Amino acid sequence: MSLNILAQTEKSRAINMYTRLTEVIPAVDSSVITSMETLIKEGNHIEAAKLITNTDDFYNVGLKNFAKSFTDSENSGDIKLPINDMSATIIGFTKDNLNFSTILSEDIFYRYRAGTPVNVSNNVHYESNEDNNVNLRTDLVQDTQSSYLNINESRVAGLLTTRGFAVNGYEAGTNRAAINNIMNQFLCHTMEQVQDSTRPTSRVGKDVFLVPNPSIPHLFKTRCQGCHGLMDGLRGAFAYYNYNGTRLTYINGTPDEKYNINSENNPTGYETVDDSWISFFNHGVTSDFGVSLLSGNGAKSLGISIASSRQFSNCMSEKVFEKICLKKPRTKEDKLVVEALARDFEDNDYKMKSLFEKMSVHASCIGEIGN
Amino acid sequence: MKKLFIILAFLTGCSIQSSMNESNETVIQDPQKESRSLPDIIDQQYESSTGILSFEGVFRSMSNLTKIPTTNANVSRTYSDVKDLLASSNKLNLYTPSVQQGFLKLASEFCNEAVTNATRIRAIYPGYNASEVNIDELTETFISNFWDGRVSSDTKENAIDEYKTLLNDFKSEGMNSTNLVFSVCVASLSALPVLIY
Repeated sequence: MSLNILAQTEKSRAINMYTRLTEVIPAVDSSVITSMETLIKEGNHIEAAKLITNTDDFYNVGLKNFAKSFTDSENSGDIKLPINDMSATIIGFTKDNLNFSTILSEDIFYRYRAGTPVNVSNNVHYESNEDNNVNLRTDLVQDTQSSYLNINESRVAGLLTTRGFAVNGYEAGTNRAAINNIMNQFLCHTMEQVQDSTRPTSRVGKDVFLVPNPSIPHLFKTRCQGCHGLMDGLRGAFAYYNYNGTRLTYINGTPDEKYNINSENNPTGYETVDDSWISFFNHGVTSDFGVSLLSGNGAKSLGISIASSRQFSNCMSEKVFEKICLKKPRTKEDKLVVEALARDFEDNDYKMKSLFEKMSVHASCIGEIGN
Repeated sequence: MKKLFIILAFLTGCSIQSSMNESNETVIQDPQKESRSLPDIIDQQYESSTGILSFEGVFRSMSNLTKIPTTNANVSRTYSDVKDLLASSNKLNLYTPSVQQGFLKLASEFCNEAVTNATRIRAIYPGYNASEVNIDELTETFISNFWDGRVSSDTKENAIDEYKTLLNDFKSEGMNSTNLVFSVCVASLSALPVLIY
């Protein structure tokens, strides 16, 4: 007995596309499936996919789980994580067809229309609405972060200044976690994958030992420099940000004390005096990331740099492929689809919803349905 | 309790397991004919494009298939009870006995809500007649409604044959119409074609 997931009738294609995009099985006689069958018979697969991305199931399960994966700093795949301002904003950008290349820089966030008011010091607004199964398709609205954080909109950086990002990026530590999370979630690489000892060390902080282990004299060069050269160049962007255990804080003009701790470890290291950042992405193994903005001040400009890079688009396309196909694109054919749709994503104003629709038509796991 | 026992007996006869063949096609297997262990599934799922529905996906799928809204008080209450048993991601290796247990309980609640209301049962089984059940029609209707587009015609036909045999046995032993409908509803709703994708 075989469960042939690549069955080729129009109905099974429609059901397969629906289930892949929404993570929900539709009724075989539902109006969406019936309409999709007709469109697929006519060869209009994209219009068929558009019917799916207008359903409650897409927003309340498939897209929600996709958005939650961005807040999963452990990459555990656990979708019992509660929705928060970061995942809600990813859903909102997709729902309203906003340009995804601005998601790391705009003064925007999404909240539920009603329920417990938003409080920047907790997640109750989001969790209580989720517990009440409030419909994300109809009851998610756009708002400005600056009005809740009481900071100038020029200091707001889209997802990078949401509470959801701050919890994992700016709490304690040295704010290097924020760079690690950007690398994982928006560039689809681990720090281990991008370490490269050819990068400049001019921004490596004073807390990084030059000789971490005297018995291995070249350890800094062979190991530490590879990550810190890149991370420490970028982390200046968040010098004025902290997460104090309940909320994001911002102090203009004063680097948080975490930036210059343990200075005795490396007295010749870089001392952070402002929120400037330098990108060394164009060196070594990351030189094909396509980063064009290579320096700036503050989180907003870094967000623009990251989200306008070629690798950001590649990453979004790869994430959507993984969401739909439940595996990484490893075959030549899958990689070609991901690459082509990444470029299409850039050419069509970075519309995430459209990326989902096109991926559901072209990804090999759906079957060779073409369009 | 008697109803649940009947269903468990039914499921034991009809239960199916999945694994991947060399071409990554998911294969539903009869455990009595071949006994591939769960670790095989785990080892090979990495490159598979097959996953398991998460707790919310299961809840909404059953709602779609049975046409019982998720806001129904009884299914909503049962969902709250079994939510933590169901999968918290789409990884196939999360298919455990507890997932199947939660899946079965939730399917039972949806089907119970369906069979206790003539309007609801006719929404998914228009030919329903409380005084006389046509086993062939009953079986084909439920399996088609819940599995169409998700399994091959061979799988569907084999399952229909097995279900018919069991239901005819139950009928000959005096099971009433409501319990027959309930049985086939739960068996087909809590089967792997409704859990994996």
